Amino acid sequence: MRWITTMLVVLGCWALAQHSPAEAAEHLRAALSQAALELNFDPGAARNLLKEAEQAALLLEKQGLGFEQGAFARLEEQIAQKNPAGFAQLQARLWTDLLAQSYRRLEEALRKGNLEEARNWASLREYRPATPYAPPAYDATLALEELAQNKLNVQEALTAVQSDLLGAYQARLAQALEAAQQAQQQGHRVRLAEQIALAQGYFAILADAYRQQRGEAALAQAQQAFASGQPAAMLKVLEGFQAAPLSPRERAKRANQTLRFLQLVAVEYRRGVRGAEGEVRVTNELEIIEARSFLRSAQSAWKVLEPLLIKDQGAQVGLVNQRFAWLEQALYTHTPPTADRLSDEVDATVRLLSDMLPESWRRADPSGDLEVIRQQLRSLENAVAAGRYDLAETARLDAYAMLESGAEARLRAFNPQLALDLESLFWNGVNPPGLARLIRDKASPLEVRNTRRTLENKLNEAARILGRETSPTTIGINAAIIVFREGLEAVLIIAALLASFRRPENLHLRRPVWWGVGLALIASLLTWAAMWGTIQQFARFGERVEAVVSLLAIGVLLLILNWFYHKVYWTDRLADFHQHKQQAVQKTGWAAILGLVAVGFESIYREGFETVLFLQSLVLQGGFRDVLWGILVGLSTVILLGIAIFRFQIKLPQKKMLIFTGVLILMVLVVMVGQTAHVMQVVGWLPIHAFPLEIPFWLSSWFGLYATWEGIVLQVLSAGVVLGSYFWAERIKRNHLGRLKTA
Amino acid sequence: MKWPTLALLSLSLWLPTAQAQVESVKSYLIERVSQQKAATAQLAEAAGRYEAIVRNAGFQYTKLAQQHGPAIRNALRDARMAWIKASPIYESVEGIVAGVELLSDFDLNLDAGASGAEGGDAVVTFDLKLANGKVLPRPGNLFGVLEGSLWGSERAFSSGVAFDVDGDGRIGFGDHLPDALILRAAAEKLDAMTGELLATARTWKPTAQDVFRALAANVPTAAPVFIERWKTSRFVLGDKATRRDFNVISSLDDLINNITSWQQLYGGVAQLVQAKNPSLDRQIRDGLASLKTWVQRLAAQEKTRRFTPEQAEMILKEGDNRATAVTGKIVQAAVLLGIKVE
Repeated sequence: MRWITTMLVVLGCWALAQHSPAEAAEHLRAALSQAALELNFDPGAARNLLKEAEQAALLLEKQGLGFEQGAFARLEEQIAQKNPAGFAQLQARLWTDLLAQSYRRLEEALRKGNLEEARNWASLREYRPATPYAPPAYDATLALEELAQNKLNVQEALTAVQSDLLGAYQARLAQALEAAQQAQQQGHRVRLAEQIALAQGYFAILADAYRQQRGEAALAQAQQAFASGQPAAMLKVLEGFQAAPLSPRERAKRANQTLRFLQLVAVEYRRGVRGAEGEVRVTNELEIIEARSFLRSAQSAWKVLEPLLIKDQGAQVGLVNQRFAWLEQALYTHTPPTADRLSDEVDATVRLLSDMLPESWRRADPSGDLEVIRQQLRSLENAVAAGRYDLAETARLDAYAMLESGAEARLRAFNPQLALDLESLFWNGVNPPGLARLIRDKASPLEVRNTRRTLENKLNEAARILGRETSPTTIGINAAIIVFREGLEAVLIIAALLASFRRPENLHLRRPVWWGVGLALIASLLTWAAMWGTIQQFARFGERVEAVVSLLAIGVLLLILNWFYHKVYWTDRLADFHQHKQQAVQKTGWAAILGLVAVGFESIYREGFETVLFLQSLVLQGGFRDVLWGILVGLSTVILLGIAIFRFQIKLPQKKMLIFTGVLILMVLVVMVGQTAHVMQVVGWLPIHAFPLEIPFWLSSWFGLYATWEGIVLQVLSAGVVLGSYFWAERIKRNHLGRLKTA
Repeated sequence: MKWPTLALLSLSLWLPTAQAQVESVKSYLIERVSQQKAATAQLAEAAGRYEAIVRNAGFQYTKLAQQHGPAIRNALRDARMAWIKASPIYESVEGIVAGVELLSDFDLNLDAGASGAEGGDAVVTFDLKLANGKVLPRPGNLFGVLEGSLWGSERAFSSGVAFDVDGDGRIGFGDHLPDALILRAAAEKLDAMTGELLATARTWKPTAQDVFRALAANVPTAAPVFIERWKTSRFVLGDKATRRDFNVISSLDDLINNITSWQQLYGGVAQLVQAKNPSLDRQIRDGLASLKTWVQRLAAQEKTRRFTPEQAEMILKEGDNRATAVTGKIVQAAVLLGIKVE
């Protein structure tokens, strides 16, 4: 029996040893918490649980975390003395000390740029108390992911992590103090001891932030208040304290809100007034009310950013506040300004803010406006469920502002009816009733939910229309065509080069050519890595990078096709390689070998570079997984072809194959032009003029065909240029031959 | 076999399996709701039998009680047994039903919604039409109405006439004759709504996002909903309890069944999480399993121990800590997969 127990303990220890610090810490916390309860009923069971906690602590010590000397012995004493309050206090202290150590480790790892270690410590943490309407934040996890993808730098990631964790611990501190006050009122001695110790522990984590914001003396005073064990004194020193810095995401959100809301003030005001200077009259009071709402929301977002800018840009902050004050006065006065005057003032404020707000704060959220709108609508529904119609209205305006200043303009071009439907659902639609109407009438949560669901479906439709989702199959096929086409060229070039080394005395010259080919393949892989790394540096610019890379790829594709159809490309290239080869052969010794290596390298790397460029563009459109299978299919076919040519000396219809793949590449070009035009319209680099016919979704997804004049014209033009160029070249050739015959 | 072939093969094998896992949540839901439908059909049949007996007696409840007819006892026992069978089955899918937007209204009306009189932000959306033409507007969730009627814990749904339903020779908890019209209407409504739920569930196209959202919305309810109900139920307060529901089956048992449905839900995305971060996947699985074991232990202890109000508060807090820790990890896993749960 004893050996079974020993084995079980060993197995238990082994299982625990496989766990991360977060798992061991949770094991420790749960065991101590159960021991605290068992202490009242079964001290023996409490001791066993304490032993389990000690095992977990040993593992954490191996990970470098420390425990107060004799902590577990003191806990055991509390069990022996049947002192649940003392046990709860020690247990809370031990736990929050672990959290503090883990938080410090996380910060250190991040500062050192040790991402793996940072991830390890980021999971030993507590979260902001969760509710069904507000799940815990994920900013820290997202920041570490974005740091890994170079979308954030170390400082930005650190700010996001601090914002998430310090925010969580401050929320936990507030919760502990509230529970302590309740326990005090209810005479719950054990709970009071536990919650006070927790509050003290959480404050210790926030102490650095407190010191930075309020100075050493204030911190000493606060620590004294926490040491007193009086919840009221603790709450007093926390008044107005906000430990968490604003995360980059939050800053970007507030900065965009300030600008968007401000612009909408002018839009709504113009709809609500008529008349020249001195004769302005309000024609639609509702629009003025909306303009006021947008101004309040802009001010509210600005107030969050103001403290971050006041130190370095105090004068400009003052100017912005003056302009806000002017706008406020203008919207409430009995002698309103003209729409143009107010617009000028709004424009000037937006310009001033745009100059002040750092570029990184104004970058677009990659998840897109529509996702933000969806989130706002969920907040709206939650606010209505809580009976907070005022908050629901703010959420509605927030969502609408986001739609009107971004997606709606594009949607009006791509699908005007859908834009109208959305407008009606946001405002005063009748069937189903619009959100503005429902909130005004204080409708039931169920009615709001129904409209919200309809709106959500429409937004999904809008996302599909505005989205650039290219069919994964199309992306894979395009990748396969590109790899096959470029691979075929490479194989044919090598075959042509090696064919001239057929004589036994020249066979040894084939090897250096193959070395060059191998080096070119390695160089192509390195080019892929370097190019991908460079693109990742610019990942924060999202769709703009995709647009630039796609434009480059299109440029190269056009050149290739143009050359190809003129036959200059193929014949000149082969002649060029043969010339290089002859020069290399004429040399002797190492010079000849190096020359042949260079010929092999040059002939293949050129194809490799083009392939890398095209594939990068496809990866940006879809994703690596979609492109990967295309690469594998294309590569397998090329390898089979290579084996057929080199091993079995099979003769292929080279010209026909090149023409066939050339036609396929032309199709790839047309799809790529359509997708790129669409991306450029999405980022606002290309104007949008709606095409009168509706184009089904599958045509957009498969062929990059979207219902705008610009996209369709560019696709037709690109195909026209290549084909026109082909026929033009053919005509010149026929004329030339004709002249020769006549002569 | 060379690595490109292997990569291609594993990719093609992995993608359909991941989707199949999410689909498994739907299969589980349909299987359980089908079982629930069988139980609610039995409940409706037994309630109909009871109503027919009461109707034949001219709705003279006092007379019926005096007759001590075995037919009455049998009908009510069958109805209670069917309720006791159906309710935990529903609890074992409640996490899915409540969390998936397409289905969430069913949860409101079946198990979670308050009555119009109670008000608040989650009132049921149906009225109960009785056979005599009377309408009970927004009476509360159907399982609650039926519990209140079958065990007499809600005076408005009972005839008010004492009757030894369990046949133990004394009038104890729940020994009242239900209002036959309400019992029948509610049982039929429950059966019909379960059928509708089943039909709607069949149209559901589950996605990983559905699963994460459902989990993030449901797991945090462990303490404020289930343990809070338990804390104020007769399982803790005994006869001092004033709750009219959750007195037949302990709310801890409901929580255990709910955690089973959360585990099932998580099973739908576990493979995706494991591929991204095996440690996080393990922490979520362990977190849910350990939450369940902890509640099971409490459920066993409540039979032999009487917790003080202070201990009950500390248990509630511990439940909240555990549920928040798991929810936090679920949300992190979602974001690693590019799904933002907000």
